[in-house]
Amino acid sequence: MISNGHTNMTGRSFKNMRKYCAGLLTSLLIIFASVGAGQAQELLHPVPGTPLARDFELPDLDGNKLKLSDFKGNIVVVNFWATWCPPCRAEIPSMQRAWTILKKHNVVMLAIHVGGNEDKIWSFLTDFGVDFPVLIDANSKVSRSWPMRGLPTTFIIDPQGKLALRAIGGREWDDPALIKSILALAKQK
Amino acid sequence: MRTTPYTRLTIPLALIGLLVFSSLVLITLYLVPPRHANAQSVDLKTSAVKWSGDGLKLELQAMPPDLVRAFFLGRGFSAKDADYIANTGCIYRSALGNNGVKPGDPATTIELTKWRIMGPKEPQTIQTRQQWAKIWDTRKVSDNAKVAFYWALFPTAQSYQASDYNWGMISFNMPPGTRFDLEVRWRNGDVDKNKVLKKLECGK
Repeated sequence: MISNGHTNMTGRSFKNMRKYCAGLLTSLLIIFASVGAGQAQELLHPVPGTPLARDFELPDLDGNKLKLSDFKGNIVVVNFWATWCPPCRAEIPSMQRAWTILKKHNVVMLAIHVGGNEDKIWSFLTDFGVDFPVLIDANSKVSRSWPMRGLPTTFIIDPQGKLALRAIGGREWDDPALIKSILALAKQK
Repeated sequence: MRTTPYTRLTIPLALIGLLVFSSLVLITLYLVPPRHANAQSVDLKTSAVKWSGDGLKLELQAMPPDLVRAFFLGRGFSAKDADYIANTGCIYRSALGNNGVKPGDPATTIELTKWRIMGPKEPQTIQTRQQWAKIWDTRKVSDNAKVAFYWALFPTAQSYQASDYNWGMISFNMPPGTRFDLEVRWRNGDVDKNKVLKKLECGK
């Protein structure tokens, strides 16, 4: 009887210990995950006052003109970049990956190249398989009229046509947190 | 092995203790920046000076005149004007921004006109986009080249939220090979901050 009792008791405490160990491991994983997320967080910041986005009309690489106001009612991602700007180049592949997700939700993505030089832009875009519209701001008049001072800068325009979110500097645009922040604008009134 | 009420209590208590201790260690690691974060370091591969602390992250790398010349020739400048930049600009490639990682971290404001160059006999200031624009007007530089130069230079003043940064060139306006120290100034939230970077040298 005693020996049976021992066996039962040892088995139960082993089960308990496994339960505690599993709980401990889960808790540690949650803590590690939250610490990691804190350090690698990709952030979009609200634009103070959420002003209306200034309308523009710019040509794409084929010379077709696109107007920002044509996309009112959609979320629009507007990225200012240049081929010779290293962080701009670095973020373009993740923008292309984000575009494949966002276009399914009717989000429009427009990349505005600051300055001309269509040949270099073509060859760069071909290398990275970019298929979202790229517009040319040859004299940088549009870029200078927007609230931005350096490259890359990206704005997210809400369906009401207001500058809702902004990122100064490169981001990993296919980061699920960024995608979620962008798509959340569809629900805002 | 005989299990007593004492051992039954000890195991969960030890595990809870370990969990609390690990949490405290991780929270401390998260909240306290590593000691090396405030030290000026040099990347041996690229010679870039790196520093991070007090709301600022910074990377500066002197560009050799040949590289400066090549960059601006490729952006539509004439050989004469590209030479002018290479021989007088003391161009550094730079990345500066807010080292915060959380949405509530205070904004960092950088104004290049507040930075101080120390060392050379003649007092020097950073040559901003606006000052270069006047030079290009007098030298009758093409509009394409002016646009490229404006956007290639680091913004004269800019505010950065957590994780924001800009890339751009900073022109210290001195001949190749000039040695200097640099007092970097910025504002983090409502507090003015500064850091002196030692032994910088214009590319040569």
